[in-house]
Amino acid sequence: MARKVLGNDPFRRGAADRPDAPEAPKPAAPPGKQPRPVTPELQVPRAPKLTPMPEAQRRAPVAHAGSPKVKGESTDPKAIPVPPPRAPVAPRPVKPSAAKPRAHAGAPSVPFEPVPHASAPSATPIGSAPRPHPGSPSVPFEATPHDGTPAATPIGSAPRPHAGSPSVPFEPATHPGAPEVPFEAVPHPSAPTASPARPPFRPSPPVYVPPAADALPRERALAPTPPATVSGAIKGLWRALRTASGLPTRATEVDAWGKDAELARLLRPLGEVLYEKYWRVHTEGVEHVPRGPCLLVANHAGALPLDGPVLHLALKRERPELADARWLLEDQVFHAPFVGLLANRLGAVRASPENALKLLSEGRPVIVFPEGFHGLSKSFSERYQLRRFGRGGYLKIAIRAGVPVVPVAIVGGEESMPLLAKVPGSFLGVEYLPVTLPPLPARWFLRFAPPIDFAGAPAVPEDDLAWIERTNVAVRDQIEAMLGALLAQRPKVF
Amino acid sequence: MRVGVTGITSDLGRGLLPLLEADSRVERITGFDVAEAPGGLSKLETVSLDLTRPGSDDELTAALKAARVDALMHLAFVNSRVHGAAFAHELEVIGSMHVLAAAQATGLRRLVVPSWTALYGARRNGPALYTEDQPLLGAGVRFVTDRVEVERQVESFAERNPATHVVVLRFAPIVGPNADNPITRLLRTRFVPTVLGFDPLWQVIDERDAARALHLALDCRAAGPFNIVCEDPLPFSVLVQLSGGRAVPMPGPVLRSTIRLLETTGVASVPVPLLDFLRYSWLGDGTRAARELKFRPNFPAATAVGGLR
Repeated sequence: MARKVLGNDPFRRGAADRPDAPEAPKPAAPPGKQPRPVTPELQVPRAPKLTPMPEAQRRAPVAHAGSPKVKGESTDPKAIPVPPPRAPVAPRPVKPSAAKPRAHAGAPSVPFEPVPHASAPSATPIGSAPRPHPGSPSVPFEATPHDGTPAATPIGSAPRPHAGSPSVPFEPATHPGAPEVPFEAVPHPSAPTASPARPPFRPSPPVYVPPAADALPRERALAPTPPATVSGAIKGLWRALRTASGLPTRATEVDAWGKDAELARLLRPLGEVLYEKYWRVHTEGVEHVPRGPCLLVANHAGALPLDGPVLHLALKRERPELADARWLLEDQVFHAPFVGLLANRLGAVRASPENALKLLSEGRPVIVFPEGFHGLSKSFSERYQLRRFGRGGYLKIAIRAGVPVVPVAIVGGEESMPLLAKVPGSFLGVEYLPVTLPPLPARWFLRFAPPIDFAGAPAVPEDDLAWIERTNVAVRDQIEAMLGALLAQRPKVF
Repeated sequence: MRVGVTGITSDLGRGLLPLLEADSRVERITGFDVAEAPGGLSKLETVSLDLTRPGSDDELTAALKAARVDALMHLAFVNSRVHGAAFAHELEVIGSMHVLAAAQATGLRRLVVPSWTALYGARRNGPALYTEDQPLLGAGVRFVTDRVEVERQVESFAERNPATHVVVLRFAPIVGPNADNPITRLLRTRFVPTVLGFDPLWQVIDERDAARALHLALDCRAAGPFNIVCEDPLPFSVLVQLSGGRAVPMPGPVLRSTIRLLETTGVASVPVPLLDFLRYSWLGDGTRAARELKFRPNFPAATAVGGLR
């Protein structure tokens, strides 16, 4: 069984094909706290937890899910997008309280019943519990044919491996940050992310004492962001093009990390339009990002990594009081001509422990993608399957710098820039040239989990390598669970 | 305080001498050089010395003892265009060996040696800001490799002679109307080739700031290496633009094969490894100098590079 994290993905037939074994609830504990048996390889499927579905049930959704789902769009302009019906899955005893709200989930006007199972969050595994009953015909889905739905064109409908690839069931109980609150379909700046329905997260002890205000990096006073105009966008793009080619741009405001404040200012209106109107980025839990330095750990995706800039812009919009964040980029992209240069001028920093520690010492949030290049180079058919989280270097940095780690799940990057093929590119000094499409209007969802409590961490990371490995796997599992939940709740890809 | 200066006619020497002349704590300046000394300095007395000659260490020892020099500024390095790499090697590496031998023989109290941030090398896997404890991995160019050799000698000298206060100042490329080094020659050309799709960050330092840093090293408490850099790095293309030239981006493979062709035909000798400096950023972290040397540059990079022509 493939790792079924694809949720409502129109590219994927039989999207709801995921492990259905009901899991025993686990006592909630932050990942670092509860030592779990360390598996020798990091990606070993947790075999005992898997219950393979009968073949018939697994095939059934394939025919079902493909057709009406992609067209499911209400004609009512005011109606919020409707979640596609979950394809029926294996019958399974579901708690009535949990099953009932979800049965209505297809009702056009109330797409996401908020908090259907908030009272017993840890009792229902995220990926598996709230599904309509398989036999229930009550999926009142308005199958209004919609021609323009881009989702109807299967771009990369390669058959996904059904068997063989490891399938890691979600373990909601171990992840306190795992989402319980389905997000609203309409992105709202003041979204009820801090709703009381969220299980009370055990507040982590203050692992970090924010420095005095004057210790934070001083941002240069800049002219206000220009209004979003077509000419402004063209001007910004022209400058970005010149910058990427290495032509002089009068960029005298470049800081030591390579960020060109003027270029960022010119491109900001265009970025805002893309963010709001094109990708319709929905963020959830941004308030978890602590003030002062922290490591934001996210999944990495897309032929060209757009996740860094989008996450950066999300922080800029939702948490303007934070210091300017930077994201770390792996060598293969950072040293690629044009792309690496442009990314550097926009705020990317070459991923290395020295750079990360220095950035943190400046009081900035630092965005890291522990999957690195492996996350980018996976093909579109493997989207949202997390790679190994490196060697846990980000944990060593977090411990050394004494800063919290905030897991972030990003959905949308894979469909925005799908990696369709690789062309040899050694003549340019890159591993391959990605064949992709211009950024597609996929919806983006960012979910921030509460900061991880590192009590019990070794004082010196090298002292307890097993702890690092264990925690690394736990953080990866948490992000995987968040991804799975986001994908399951995603109303539409586009 | 009696100060000895080798290479008084070098760029740094010419910048430093007026500062020493104006400093009331300096009683006497003893200058060592093969060339004619600049006039108009009352404290300066010159000794003719050729550091490339065998036995020059004995001459230097005798002169240092006679003048009872407290601090020696070793500025005899070749930055101008050289026609023989062998001569430059003799002066820089072997000359420094003679100077260190003399310093050990006289029990010198303080030794100041200039160096370059380029010695860290422009590396693919280097940090964004090189601190002083980073290894010196610059290679491929005589200009760099000889100075790496000098720094190794100085470092082992400092280890073996703890009584001598050794200060190494690693300068960003020194620019200014009087400066003449490979970087200023590159920036003074009309069309500067750059690598298409790359635009590394560079630092420069004004020659007046560089002289001031040398002067500060005369009585600083801290020892060891210091990065002497400007606070605002600039993309190389902007640096070229501000210096009045024109950046011509060329595709990397084309540039590389052109350089190889020029070198093979003997038209020009530009080593290919130099291209790394046009691809990867090489920035020195100047916080140690600001903290322990109390050095902050007076001239921003744009001003410094604007005075090139």
